[in-house]
This record gives sequence, structure tokens and C-alpha cells, in this order.
Amino acid sequence: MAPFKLFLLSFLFVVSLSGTYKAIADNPPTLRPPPQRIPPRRTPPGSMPTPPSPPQHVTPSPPYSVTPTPSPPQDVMPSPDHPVTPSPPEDVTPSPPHLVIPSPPQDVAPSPPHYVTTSPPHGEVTPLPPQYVTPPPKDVMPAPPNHTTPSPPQDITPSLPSPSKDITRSPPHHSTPSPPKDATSSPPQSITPSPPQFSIFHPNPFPQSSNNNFFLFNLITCFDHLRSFFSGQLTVVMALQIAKRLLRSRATNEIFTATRSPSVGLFTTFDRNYSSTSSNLITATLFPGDGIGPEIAESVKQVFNAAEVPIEWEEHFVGTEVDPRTQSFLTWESLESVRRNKVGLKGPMATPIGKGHRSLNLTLRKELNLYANVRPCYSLPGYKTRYDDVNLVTIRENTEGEYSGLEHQVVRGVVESLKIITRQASLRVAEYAFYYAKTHGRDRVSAVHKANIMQKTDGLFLKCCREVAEKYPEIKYEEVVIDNCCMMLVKNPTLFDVLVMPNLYGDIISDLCAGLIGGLGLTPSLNIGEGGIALAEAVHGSAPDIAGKNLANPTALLLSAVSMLHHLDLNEQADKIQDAILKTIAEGKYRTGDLGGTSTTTEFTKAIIDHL
Amino acid sequence: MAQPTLPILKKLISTNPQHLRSCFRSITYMPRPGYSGAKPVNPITGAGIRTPVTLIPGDGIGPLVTNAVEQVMEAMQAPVSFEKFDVHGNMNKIPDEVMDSIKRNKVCLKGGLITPVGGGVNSLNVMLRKDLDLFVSLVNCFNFPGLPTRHENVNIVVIRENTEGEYAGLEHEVVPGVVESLKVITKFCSERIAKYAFEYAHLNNRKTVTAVHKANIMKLADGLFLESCREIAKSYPKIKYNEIIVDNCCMQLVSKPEQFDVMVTPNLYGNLVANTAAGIAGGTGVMPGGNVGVEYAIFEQGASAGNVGKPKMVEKKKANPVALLLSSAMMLRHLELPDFADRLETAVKHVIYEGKYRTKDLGGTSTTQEVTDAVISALKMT
Repeated sequence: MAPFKLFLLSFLFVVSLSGTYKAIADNPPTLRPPPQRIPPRRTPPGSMPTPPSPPQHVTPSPPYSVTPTPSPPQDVMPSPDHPVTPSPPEDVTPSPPHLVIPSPPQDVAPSPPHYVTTSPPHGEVTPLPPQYVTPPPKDVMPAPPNHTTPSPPQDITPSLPSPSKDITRSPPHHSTPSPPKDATSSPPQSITPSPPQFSIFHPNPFPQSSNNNFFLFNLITCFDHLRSFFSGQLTVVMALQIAKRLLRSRATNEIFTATRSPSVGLFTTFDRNYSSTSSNLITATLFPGDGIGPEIAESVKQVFNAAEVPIEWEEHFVGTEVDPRTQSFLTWESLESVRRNKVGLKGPMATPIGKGHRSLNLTLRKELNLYANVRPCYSLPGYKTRYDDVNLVTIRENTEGEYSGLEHQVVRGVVESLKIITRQASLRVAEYAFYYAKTHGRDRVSAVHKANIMQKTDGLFLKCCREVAEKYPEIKYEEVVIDNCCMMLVKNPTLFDVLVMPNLYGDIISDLCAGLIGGLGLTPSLNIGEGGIALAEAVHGSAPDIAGKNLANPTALLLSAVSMLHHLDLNEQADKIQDAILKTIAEGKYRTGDLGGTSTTTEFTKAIIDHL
Repeated sequence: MAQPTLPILKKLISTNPQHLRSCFRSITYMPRPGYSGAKPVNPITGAGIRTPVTLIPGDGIGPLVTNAVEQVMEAMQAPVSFEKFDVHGNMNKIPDEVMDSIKRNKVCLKGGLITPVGGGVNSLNVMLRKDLDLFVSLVNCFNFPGLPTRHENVNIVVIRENTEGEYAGLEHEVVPGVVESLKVITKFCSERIAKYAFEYAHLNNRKTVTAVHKANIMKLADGLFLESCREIAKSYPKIKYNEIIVDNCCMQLVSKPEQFDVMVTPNLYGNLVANTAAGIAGGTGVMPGGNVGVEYAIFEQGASAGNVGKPKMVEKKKANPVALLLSSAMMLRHLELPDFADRLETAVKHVIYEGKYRTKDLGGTSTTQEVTDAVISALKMT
């Protein structure tokens, strides 16, 4: 009997662990904001035990765990050979842009489920293990607030070396194979034990700050798992889920006291386990673009090689004919590749003039649901502009607002244009802004608005920002009227840190800030999309007049790639490359034409590599 | 015989003190506006004619700076009398008596009115502009000699459509969580603002008019605005016309502001561009401006940022009166009293050039009263 009891106990223990995992997968808190990466930047080297196979076997997510019923995609029943999660990442949030007002039922339910205050979204968010030094399969993008259900599962997919990577990749559905998908296809596997896995690889939503919690928690999940496995009584499980959430929320409070400073106690144990040098690569999509695009993309590749960044590029080109699936010159494969890799770098693209196709930027934005545009603006030491001490980040809502494109002529000579602000989109971008501020060590977020005149629209935006601000008490939050903001920016840019704004103001202010530091040729930009997708791009034009002459300035694309690396948490390399670039420009010996020098692109690149 | 009669008669009915009535002075000094005693006089009553102007001190630093203007006007002995009215930003609407006064006087000088953010109260500033149909908001941004800024050679006039556009105030909640705001652009308003801009450029010897828009995204709305501008441009062949997208415009303003001259914009972009331009040229505390309509005109601090100032500034009385002083100079020109306007402007610029009395936003430490006194003494010198 004794051995059997032992066995049973260990079985239960193991099961509880996987149950924990399942629990995570099960309750994608409808809004699963950023796997809270409070990652210290530098992680002490350690070794990571080889993880066993991933527990993507979680039992099919019961309805409650997925985005609440309103969203149609739910109906996709997981078919046996096509382990698709009921809710594909992209579609759940009906794309705000063209505010298809018909879609309200889904997302505009009074206080969209995402933000139901009961669920402490941040409680569930994982303080991601600091370094995905074994860079995770794209699935595990340490993603920004991901407000679509499936994302959490993605984040949970452990960062694994190749073998499991293949497993995660094998599912035919090439958008992120989130655990639930596979789970649906093979429940029995759920018993596959994986003790270390949970604690090490998962973006652990339950920071086990105390053993008590752990034990209690495990007990609960153990029961939970047993129940769902054996009886499947939803209500009881739901109750347990709620209990879990409460637990998490209790535990959560500790997460946010940790800042980016290295290895604060909470994560020390986990840190060490993580930081071994990666043996596998992150695949990233690269769109070289037109005009000077290919040259500067080449430059980026060289610099990355020299810096030994574990990124493998998958290049895609803009086609020469319209792809009917995307209604533009970008092929479906390219978009799929970005969706799969979760990370991309885009060079300047010139939209061919003509009809019958969408503009390339618009296609990307819509298809990938890129909702936030992040532009870090900092003065480049050595390139003198009138403003020397700029160091701010503008985060702009990219989908709705004044740029919805809904205009019509009322009568001859009278035109109306609609500006649309939704709670959902505003919350999304505010979440990302605070998340960004937190993970990059910024201490102030300013919301820019004109709510004294446009009371309801910008008032709604402000309300959402305030709500999110409450969840981040350590970040200072302020609101600035846009005209004040403009004036203060040109008088004293040091007053601002992170700016978050709706679409139009964001457009103007981000370009203003780009002007402060020297123009679009030096400004990096990063677009964040649903599902943790990050697409870094160079916002300047394709400069066809200097294309092919080796005269282009690759700085913008390089800095964008650096911000992409920051997003991927490869902070050391990112810093290294950034320092090299800044040093090169500061020295002034090798500068391209637009900075006032005479170097060629290759010389400039070489200088950067030398500085590395 | 008849000639000496008049002075004698005057002596008789004048209010000279009794003991001086036997002598009268000959005029030996040149008459100067405001100093000579040759003020316009009502021939029957003998009272001086002063143009009445409505004065709304407003909130925050408003009372402080309008007081400064009053003092200076008094010192200059400008033939302007002020009818003061108390209006605050949290009132529901402008009181009727104020509106009547403005409609009677046709000219108003105003301090800033606070608009509660996000509250259900409509901005009184905007309401005033709409009711009186002040469709032009003019801000003149220029570099002051002696005031160091990051940008040189700035001399921009931003002419901004003041009644429609994004500030139409037509908002509604479609379903909970989705709010729409209407931006309305009409051909009528776009035409008249374009016409004003070109006429201004023509009358003030300006060479270029630039239209600021975002028509690549808002094709119909800003497209209509651009069309109107282009049409009007055709009737002013001597004035160069070009167009620029608003985000590019802001970038250029920050790097190369000397390329801009007169800029005509719809409502929202105008707000941003005006504040940016004011910021690069010295700050909104020194830029004059006004809201002008066909019949009425209201002059206030040019760019709207910092209109009401912060409470600390009010306490310490360190608000910058320069903007409102220069706006009142604009007002004097509007009242066709250019001499007074010139004197006032020269005095103010002299004070700034000297640099001894500057308020905090210009890098100094003076109070409002000190600056006002400096201006008055500068006036007396010239």
C-alpha cells in the first residue's frame, strides 16, 4: 500500500503541477495584459535543465476560459487534426479601425469583458522569466498586453529548445500554436508529467513568493485538475478558478514592487535557471522594402551577425502583383510569416499608385492588428540639433480615432468626418504604454488629449488611461492638454517621458518629436499588434533617388531593430548595438550624407561593427 | 474781435480755478497723441470721447494681466474706456449683459477662461467664438530682438478657422464604450477663412500662404478645405501658395521655421501649429493674437496654451503680461488708433530687449507689476 500511496501522491503532485499549467491555459484572463516582464536586464548566467515536452495538452478550454461568448470565433470547434483554439488571436477583438459599428456586440459589451474589474488581469499576468535566453518559439513572445484570449496560452508555452519547438510548430495551424490547441487534440497526454517545466519555463503567473501559496495553490489546482479530468463539472471548476484568481491577485501585488533592477529576490531563483546562452534562434521576418530598403536591411543583417544576435531572418518581398487574399501587394505568406514569427522588421515600402489594392501599410496594420506605434525619441549625441536632451517615447494608438476614414458628404459643400474612440482600443494602448514604461524603467506616463473641447471622445480615452494607471501605482501618471504639450515639447522636451495618445495627436506629436531629434531618418519605430506581434519599421521613405548608390543612412532601421531586440528581451545585445551606433555617430568620422558626412552605407556599417 | 472771443468764452466757462482764470497759456509744445490734452472732445459736453471696449478679466492670471493692460492704457491716455464684466469658466453660458456689451462695443479684450477638463461644461471660449461668429483666430509668432530662443528668423502668422472642424462639439456615445465625434468642414467656412488669410497676407505685405492639412488620410474633409484654399489662391496671383501635411509641418516648424509665413489651417491643426510656433519663438506668454469676425473682435493672448496659468503663478503674481499688452496693441490698431498701437509695441519690445524685467517664462524673475511699470516708464520715454 505504501508504495502505491507514494505513487499516488507523486502522481497527484505532478498532476497538480500540470494542472497548474492547465489552469493558466484555461483562464486566459480575458484580458491578459503583458506577461508582466519585470525582467531584470542582466541575468546571471545559469543553466537550464532540459525541459521535457511541453504541456500543450491541456484539456480543451472550457467556454468560460475563453473570451466570453459574444465572440463568434468561439464556434470553431477544435477539430481533431486541426488543433485550433476556439478563439484565434487576431479576430477576437474586432478590429477597431473601421469601426464596424455593427460589431459592438462582440467587444463593446458594456464594459467589455476584458476589463471586467473582477478579474485582476495583472494578477494573472506573468512576470515573465527575465530572459528568454533560450529564446522561446515565437509563441512565447514576451508579449505586451494581449487582449485576446489565446495570447496567454501562447505566453505560457514554455521557452524550449528545438525539440519542443518542433512540436509546437508542427500543428498545421501556423498561427501561434497555443497549448490549448494541442490540448484539445490529445487530452490523455495531459498527464504527461513535467515538474520543472512549470516553475521554470512558464511565464509564471503565480510568482511563488511563498511556499504557503504554492502548496495551497497546488492543492487547489490538484483538485481542480482532478475534477476536470474526472468529472468536468464546470461550476465547481469555475469556483476553483475564481479561488485561484484570488490567490494570484494576492500574490500579484508583490510582482509589481519589483522593478527592472537586477534580480530582485522574487525572481532570483527563476532567473538563474533561465539565462543560459541560447542555442536556438528566433526567426524574424524581414521586409527589406523598396528603394534604399535592401541596402539598409543588408546593413542590419551584418551588424546583427557581428553582434551575434540569435536571430535568423526570413525575408519576404513585396510582390509585383496584387495578391487576392490580402488585396495588396503583400502576399499572404509574408503576413503569415509575421504572424508565426511574432517579430518582424520592415524597411521602407513605396506603395505603388493605382487602384484595386490597399496601401501596404494599411494592409499590415489591418491584418496584423497593429494597435500601438511606439517611437522612442532620444537625442543622438554627436548629431547636433537644436534640442540636445530629448529622451522620450511616444506611444500612439494606431487603429481608430480620427483616422478611421469614415467620411461622407452631407450635402454639397458640407463634409463630415467621424472620429471614433472606443474603450477597448484605448484600454489596449494604455495598457501597452504602462507596460512599456514599466519594462523600460520609465517613471512617468503622460496622456495627451483635448478633453476640454472634445469631452466625450477624449474623455473616454482619459478614463481608460486612468483606469490602467491605477493598476500601476508606481508609475506617475499625468494628463496634458495637447496645445500645452506642443508648446512644452518645443520649449523643454525634458518635461516628458512616455506619452500616450490617440491617433491624430499621436501622429503629429510623434513626428514633432522626430523633428526634435533630427528627422525621420534617425527615428526608430515599433508597431505592436495583437498576439504579441511586434513589427519594427523605418518610417522614412524609400528614397528612390539614392537607391542602390550605397549612400543611404541605415540608422533608422538599425535603431528600429534595436527596439525590436528590446521587445524580445535581448537587452544586452540591444544595448551593445545601440551604443555602437551612438558612438559611431558621435565620433563623426563616418557619417552618411544626410547627417552631413560623406561615408557610404557600407563604411558606416563597418564602423558600427568595429565599435561592437 | 471775434477771434479772441472764443478763448475768452472758453475761459469763462472753463473749469479753471478761480485764481487762474485771468491767464491762459499759449501752446508751445507739439501736440502728441495722449499728451497734448488734445483729446477728442465732445463739442457740446466737453467730455472726452473714449471708445468703449468690453473687458473680461477671466480666470487665473486673467485679472492680473488685464489689470496690467488697464494701467498701461491709462498711462498712455489712450482714448479707450473699459467696461469690465466678471465671467468665469464654470458658468454655463456667457451672461446676457456681457453679450450685449460686446455687441454694442464690437471690440472686447479678454483674459483666459478655464474650461473644466472632461466635465460636462462646454468651453466658454469656444461658445463665445461661435456665438459671435469670430471665424478667424490669428496668432502672430515672431522672434523678439534680445530674447534668445532656439530658432531664429521666425515670423509666422497662423490663421486658424475658429468655428467648425473638430471643435464642432458634436459628440455622442454610440453604444457604451464607443464614442463618436463629428468633424464638420463646410465649403463656406473654408472659403471665408482662406479669403481672410490671403487678404491678410496681401494687406500686410506677406509673401506666402501655406495651407496645413491631412488630406492624405481625411480625403473628403481636408480635401474640401484644400479645394477652397486653392480656389481663393487663384485670385491672389502675387502671393505664393503651398500646402503641407500637418505632421510634416510640425517637423519643419521644429527644424526650419523660417520657411513659413502665413499659415491657414482648420481648427484643430491650427491649435497645435499655433502653439508650436509660439513655443519656438518665445513662448505663449508673449505672442499676441485675437479672434476676429466680420462684425466683432475679441483680443486675447494669442496661443491658447497657458491661458489661465497655474495657481502658483497667480499667487505670486508672476504672470507675463506681454502677450495681452501686444494683443491690446492689435486691438488699438483694430480701433484705428495706430499711433497708440505703435507706441505700445515699441515700449513692450524695448522692455524685452533690455532684459531687466522679464517674467519666469522668459527666463527672468520679475513680477507682473514690475514688467508693467517698466512698460509704462518706457512709454514715457518715447
